[in-house]
Amino acid sequence: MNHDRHILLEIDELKTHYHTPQGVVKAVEGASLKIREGQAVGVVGESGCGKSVMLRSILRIVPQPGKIAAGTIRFRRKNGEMADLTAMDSNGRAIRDIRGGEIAMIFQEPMSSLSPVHTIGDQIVEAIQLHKRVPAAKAREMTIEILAKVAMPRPDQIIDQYPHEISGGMRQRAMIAMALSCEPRLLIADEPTTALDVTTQAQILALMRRLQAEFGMAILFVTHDLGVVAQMTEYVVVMYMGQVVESAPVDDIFFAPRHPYTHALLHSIPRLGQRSAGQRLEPIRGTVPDPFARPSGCPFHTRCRFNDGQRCVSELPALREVGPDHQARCHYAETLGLSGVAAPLERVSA
Amino acid sequence: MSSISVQAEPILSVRDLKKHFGGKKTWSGAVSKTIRAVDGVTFTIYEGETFGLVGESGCGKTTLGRCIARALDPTGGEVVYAPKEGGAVDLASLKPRDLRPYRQDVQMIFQDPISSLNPRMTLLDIIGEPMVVNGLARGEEVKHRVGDLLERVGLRAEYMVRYPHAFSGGQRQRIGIARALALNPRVIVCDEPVSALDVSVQAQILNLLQDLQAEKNLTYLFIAHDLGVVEYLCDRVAVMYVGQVVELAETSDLFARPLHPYTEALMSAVPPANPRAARAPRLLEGDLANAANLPPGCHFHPRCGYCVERCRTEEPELREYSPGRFVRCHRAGELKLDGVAELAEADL
Ligand SMILES: Nc1ncnc2c1ncn2[C@@H]1O[C@H](COP(=O)(O)OP(=O)(O)OP(=O)(O)O)[C@@H](O)[C@H]1O
Ligand SMILES: Nc1ncnc2c1ncn2[C@@H]1O[C@H](COP(=O)(O)OP(=O)(O)O)[C@@H](O)[C@H]1O
Ligand code: SF4
Ligand code: SF4
Ligand SMILES: [Mg+2]
Ligand SMILES: [Mg+2]
Repeated sequence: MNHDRHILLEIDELKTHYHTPQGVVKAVEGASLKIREGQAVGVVGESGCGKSVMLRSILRIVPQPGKIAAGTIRFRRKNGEMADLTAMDSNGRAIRDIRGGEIAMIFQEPMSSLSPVHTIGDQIVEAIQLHKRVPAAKAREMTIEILAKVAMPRPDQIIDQYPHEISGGMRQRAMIAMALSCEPRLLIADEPTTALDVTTQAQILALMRRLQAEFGMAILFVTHDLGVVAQMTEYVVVMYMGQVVESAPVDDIFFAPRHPYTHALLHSIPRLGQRSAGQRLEPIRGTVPDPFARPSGCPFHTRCRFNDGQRCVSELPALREVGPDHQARCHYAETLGLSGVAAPLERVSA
Repeated sequence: MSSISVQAEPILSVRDLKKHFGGKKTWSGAVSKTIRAVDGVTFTIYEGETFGLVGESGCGKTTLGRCIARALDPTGGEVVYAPKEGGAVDLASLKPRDLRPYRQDVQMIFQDPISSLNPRMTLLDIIGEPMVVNGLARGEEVKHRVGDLLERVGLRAEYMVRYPHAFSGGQRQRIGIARALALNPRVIVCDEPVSALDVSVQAQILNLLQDLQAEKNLTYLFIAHDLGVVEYLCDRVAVMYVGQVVELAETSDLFARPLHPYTEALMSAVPPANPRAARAPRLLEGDLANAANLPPGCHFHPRCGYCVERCRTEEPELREYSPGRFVRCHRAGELKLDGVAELAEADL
């Protein structure tokens, strides 16, 4: 469906490991995904499954003692050439030009990208001047414009305020404004609305959607909120223990999942409008295994209802094509007949 | 999820409860602005029900919950508790000494299972100490009880010798629940007990809370901001806006047909977990009103899409719109507001 658009980013068999005194944490252990130009891709999975480490690997900002151990991350530069980000020096010129200039990142906690001791305006002006040769007065003008674009109230005043002087929702807007100031072609968003109220979240999501349409940028969106996934993304990547276990168009993820983990995630969450008498949630059995003791075979076998006790415990399933644009990493993906979530109301599915 | 039976008795009656912060003279003589964190809240909670409390961050949910559990001293109003042995006591006005016998009946579970457990105490001390202090058990019996409680919340009895840091977020929340259960409470104030947990762990904890309620006839005041969780778990729900209840109803009524514009706005802001429902929410602009500087008239009027002249000057009262349904809006009933069903329909 999106095949007319160029591939913007392609992660292939990425492995990012942390060498700690207790042993090696294989935070990302063979993850692959593709993002096309202008596409919004969601990443979901339980905490600790490697989402943030994968995103940080793209920008080469994996903190010590983390290291990319294998795989490639190919990104289409402005000039059309595909560059392998894993081959770049993590402090070198090339990756620094890409960071902020071509790929921007926003976080759950805005204060992780905003400095408390500089005004909002100074920080955005600096970001602009890092990538564009413009005089200070012009950069300030551009800053007010971008603040207005992210629907910041009173941008000409807010520009001279410090982060602690504005509300959480406004700080989130300021961080987005800074991320967008250089018109990136890829925006990486790591749970950007998790800490916000639903009302503020709705404002920020509407803003991101509008900006995506306006700038034509692609978004890689990590969230654990299925509503956000459903409303914000076209394509979804499900991760478990550092691997992609399923990737498919968002409609397939909700209505025709192929991996038992995706199925279990969908059914463990209460969804607004779904209340029915005597209903019970179905939690995913057990817990995420200790990262130092990865299970043999299929890493999900310790919690999977369909574990066959043989192949599942001995042989790692490959991520393979199970439908158009749809991949799953399960030996039995085609035959399990998993149910998706029913559409919340009959009329909606009409 | 027990639907409250008709004969259920009130267990807590909150009357015009207030908690104001600040407003005191500082050393320089200046008076700080009074923050009306809880500003005249009235509702009744029935035995065995789950009573939900929702609203935006800072609207006063935690403060209200803490006043009810007397972890904070209210500025005014009553919290009338009906003890098992009959009668009625106002927890809000009791002196600490007189409060003692009732304190164990109302316990709390916190949002942040990490900071609410003392890192230097073992689980045995964390869960067992309140038993000893309140004279419920001594010596070996404490160990037995702690072991039983740990098993009841899905942990192993052997874990009692360990410290909280050795446990995951979900396990720590189980420890917090075991601690709250240690004194055989009748009411538990659950302050966002699953907000900090991973989705899959949330389901386990919600199921555990439901099972314990059924088993011990517990009453929950359940504070949350996830409307999906509230709809799933609660029998009745109160919606709060800057320190006041603006709507109160049975869960299904509230979600099917909200009467207050703020309730509608909150529900509309939740992105539907269905990719085929491509809806643009009705955005609520601006932020929660400032509790230290409230707007005149209806406190919600600067953000309300249905505001009329009267709303700007005259403050609406909380009134009983129909039996059991309360709303604080001049235009309640006159407005045709959308419930979850219409909101999903509007998506097409
Ligand atoms: N000790 C205090 N001193 C001064 N103001 C306080 C204090 N505790 C709370 N407040 C204020 O009271 C109001 C209500 O706070 P409260 O923590 O009850 O909100 P909440 O609804 O629980 O929010 P959240 O959803 O973020 O937990 C806020 O304006 C808060 O800043
Ligand atoms: N600095 C670090 N040192 C050691 N292990 C780490 C570090 N950062 C992350 N990890 C481990 O990497 C794994 C993936 O983490 P992360 O990507 O943050 O998960 P997610 O974002 O999916 O919640 C986890 O097992 C985590 O404990
Ligand atoms: S390979 Fe086996 S254990 Fe793994 S998800 Fe499929 S059925 Fe379950
Ligand atoms: S009283 Fe007026 S401003 Fe307040 S909620 Fe009702 S319609 Fe809106
Ligand atoms: Mg993360
Ligand atoms: Mg709170």
